[in-house]
Amino acid sequence: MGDRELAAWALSLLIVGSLAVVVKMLPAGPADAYERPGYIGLRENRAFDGAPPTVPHEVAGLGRSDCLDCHAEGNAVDDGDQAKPTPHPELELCQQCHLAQLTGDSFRANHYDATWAYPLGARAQPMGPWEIPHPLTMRENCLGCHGPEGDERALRTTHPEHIRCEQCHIPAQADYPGPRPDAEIDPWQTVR
Amino acid sequence: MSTSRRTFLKTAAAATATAALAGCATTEAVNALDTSLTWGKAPCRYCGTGCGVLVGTRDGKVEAVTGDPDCGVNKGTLCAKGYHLPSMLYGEDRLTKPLLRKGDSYEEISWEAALDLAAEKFKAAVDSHGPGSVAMYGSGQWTVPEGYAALKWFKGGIGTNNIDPNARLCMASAVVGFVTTFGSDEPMGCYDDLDKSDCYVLWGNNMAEMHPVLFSRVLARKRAASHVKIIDITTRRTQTSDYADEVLMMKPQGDLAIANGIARWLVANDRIDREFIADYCTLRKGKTNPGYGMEDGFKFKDKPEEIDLEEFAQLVDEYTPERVEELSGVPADKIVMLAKLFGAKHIKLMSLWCMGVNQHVRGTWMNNLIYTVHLLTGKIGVPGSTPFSLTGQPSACGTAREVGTLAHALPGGRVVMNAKHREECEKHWGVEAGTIPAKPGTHTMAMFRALDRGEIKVMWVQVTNPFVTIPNLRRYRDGKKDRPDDSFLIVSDIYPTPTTELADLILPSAGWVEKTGVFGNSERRTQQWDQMATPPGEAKPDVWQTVEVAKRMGMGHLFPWEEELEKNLYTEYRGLTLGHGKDVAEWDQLKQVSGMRWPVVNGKETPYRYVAPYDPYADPGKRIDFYGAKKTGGRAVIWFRPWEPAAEEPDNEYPFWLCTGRVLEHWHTGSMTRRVPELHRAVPGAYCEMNSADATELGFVQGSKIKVASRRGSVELTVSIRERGTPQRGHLFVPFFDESIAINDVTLDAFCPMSKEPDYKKCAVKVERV
Repeated sequence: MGDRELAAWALSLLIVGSLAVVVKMLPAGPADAYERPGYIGLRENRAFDGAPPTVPHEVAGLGRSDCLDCHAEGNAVDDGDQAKPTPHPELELCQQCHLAQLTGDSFRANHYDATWAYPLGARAQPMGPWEIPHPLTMRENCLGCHGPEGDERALRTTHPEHIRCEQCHIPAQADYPGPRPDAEIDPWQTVR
Repeated sequence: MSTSRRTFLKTAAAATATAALAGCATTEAVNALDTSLTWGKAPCRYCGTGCGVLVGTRDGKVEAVTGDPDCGVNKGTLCAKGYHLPSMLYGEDRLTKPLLRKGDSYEEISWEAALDLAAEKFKAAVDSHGPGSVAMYGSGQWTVPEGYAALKWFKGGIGTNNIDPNARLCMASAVVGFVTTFGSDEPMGCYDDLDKSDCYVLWGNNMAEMHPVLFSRVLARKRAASHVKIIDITTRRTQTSDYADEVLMMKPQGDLAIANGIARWLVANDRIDREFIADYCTLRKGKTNPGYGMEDGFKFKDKPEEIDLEEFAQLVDEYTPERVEELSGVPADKIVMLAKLFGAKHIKLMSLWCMGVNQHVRGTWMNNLIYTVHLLTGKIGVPGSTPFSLTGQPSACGTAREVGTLAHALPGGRVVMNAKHREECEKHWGVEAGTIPAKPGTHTMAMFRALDRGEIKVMWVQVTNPFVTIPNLRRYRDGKKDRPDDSFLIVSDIYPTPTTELADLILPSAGWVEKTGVFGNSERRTQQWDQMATPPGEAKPDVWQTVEVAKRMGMGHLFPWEEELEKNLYTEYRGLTLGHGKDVAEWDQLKQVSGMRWPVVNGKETPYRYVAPYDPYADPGKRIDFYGAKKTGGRAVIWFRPWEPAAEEPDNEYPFWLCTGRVLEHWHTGSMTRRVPELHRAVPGAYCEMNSADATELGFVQGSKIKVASRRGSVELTVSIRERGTPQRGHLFVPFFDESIAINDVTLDAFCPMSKEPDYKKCAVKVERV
């Protein structure tokens, strides 16, 4: 094998290797985010996108509950279930935002109707990284939901070892140089 | 699904192109939000914290909210109530049409007929019984324009001071405390102090539930600096206690003894700041044993007497740590610990309090005493070291106190008793000299007693729910029920409540961002918002209702504006604040930002009042300048106020103390928050917290049905043990948000003789099995 062949072989190896990395980083989930049961499930315990989730399980007491015992790092709990790690462990007053639900009843009927705005982000080009479709307030730690111990209803990352998520994934509405996705083009077409 | 997704994305793109954040500088924040909604800014509808909220609307409906990251109050966070604001407006039983009582039912009438009738009733009462026979009962939830219009119409139009807000039940003791100590209402500090202190002393203040966003700021400070301490002085173990370094469990009324104990120790051990006292303070004592205001026609006037430090030392001398332990139940060594914290020069210390101190038969005294211990040690007006009075309603400060919708007040810190103040307002309004009566009108309790006696013929209630919140409620509710024709009651609200149930005329109101408004929060922050949503049916803003009735009484000249009513009212009101150290910001500037703290001079806000260079009114040569204290030569008053017992104490027949209050999830009487599904499911109804030892002794378990009875009335409740809070032995706690459990049938209408604010925290009750 001459130098040229050797170089070509090395280059092809590199390309195949990179492609493998890129393919690995593609989301594994089904294409249609709106129909994804996980996404619909995400709505079950919140009033609208951006509202803090209510507590989906019974709580023993109120007050400085021991939420962080399970939710600081995401411990395994009974029935092989996994407690989700909080995306904001620095905030200790859990009951400020998260409501335990003691009943399913209503005081009076309510016809508030939330729209669900951001099922999945777009990408700038077919192989580009996904944009972050939701606000980041209270979601500073992406792996809280998207990591291996995260919420099974959220998209799981295929590459949790890359901990600096914002290196590739940018908030959907932020200004950034480069082409914007055209909404007329189905952003999922390249995934299918 | 695919089509609808495409349609959605299409609309989203179109909306993105045109989406504008109305009048808000927070474009960066909004960039991360769903741009298919139109975003604008508003303060939260609920408590006195005044969190900045970004409101997302579509087709005139509120669909989403998020904390405003550019608001200096909450920096992007909210509490559970704030996060669930959207559905608050969409309960299915919103009032949408004016309703007139016909016997036991109501019939829908037109706005024209409703306004004509209201005006006719007011005119008839004034003509035959004089201006004192009508009353307006508003609230600390009135927007600034709403309160200002009502005040101008009553004091400058009808010529009566019979207007009072529910802030009387909430902040009156804080007001009188400020005025008697500093000569001017409202705090010197601000929320920035919360990020800078070394020690937080909470006086009867369950901050984790009542001001969670502010408490999180305290916790963030504690997390960042391990030396920081939180001291919880309380009568009941609360969620706040769980985060405190010291929980000092005290007997009701023990706070008076604790403050005096601190003062005594400081003086006796010479840990006071003599230089500060000599330069900036003066000492006073007042009348003692002023009574409890339980009888109709009660009157009291304090008589301050100047004293010197030596006499002060003698007066507080009886409050030794041991004596204070006896009176308060807090161990003597803990009293000394507290006193040492106040006395330590290098410690920045912040006192925080709200209803525990204000709803107190000696509420004014207790406010005075907290200032006393801060003034003795010079712990005031230093960033991170200050007394700070928290408020409970979104505009208790902005409307009730600054606009002055209290029975004795006028805008910009003026009072009706002062001839010059009356003249300034009459001139500003262009009304005849002598229109405003010099005599204060009826304060809340006197007003409801007068209504009950049939002396008030027409009362208009706006933005509040008195037939849930008035103490000793049965007297007033049954009075109106039994003698419906004695008076004509008009109630404006967004939902049916026990108060609208008693109304003769119900007017449907616009709520929160369905109208344009201005609130003023605890830290002197004036917060403006524009209307963003459409009110349902025929609901109308309260300010429009007031002006339309005034016009029909021939007082349209008071409101000469064809459009932008709220902006014009605010701008006219602002004229009365300028040059008085209470200068509120200009409307157009307020539109751009998430609130500004007054005094605002040359477009610049003041975080720390009385302190140069922050406050342009303060003398830069002074460490602090109490320029509002005109009566005491610019000096703040160190008051001596003794411990005195509560109005009613447990005895053999009624062996338990009863304390009432709020919970995190519900606000005020729950007429808004209970209609939010997530909040209702979290706390579906009232309950009675009991100590487990008492429960065991009486044979009750969690969920036992009991009757809690006082000399005035009784309610049925379920027992709650070790849930949200844990009372001491011999104490009960019941929240008041649940309209089906009228705990105020049980409470006592004793009040602070100086502020006339009732004590909802102390009365004697017994418990029976049902």
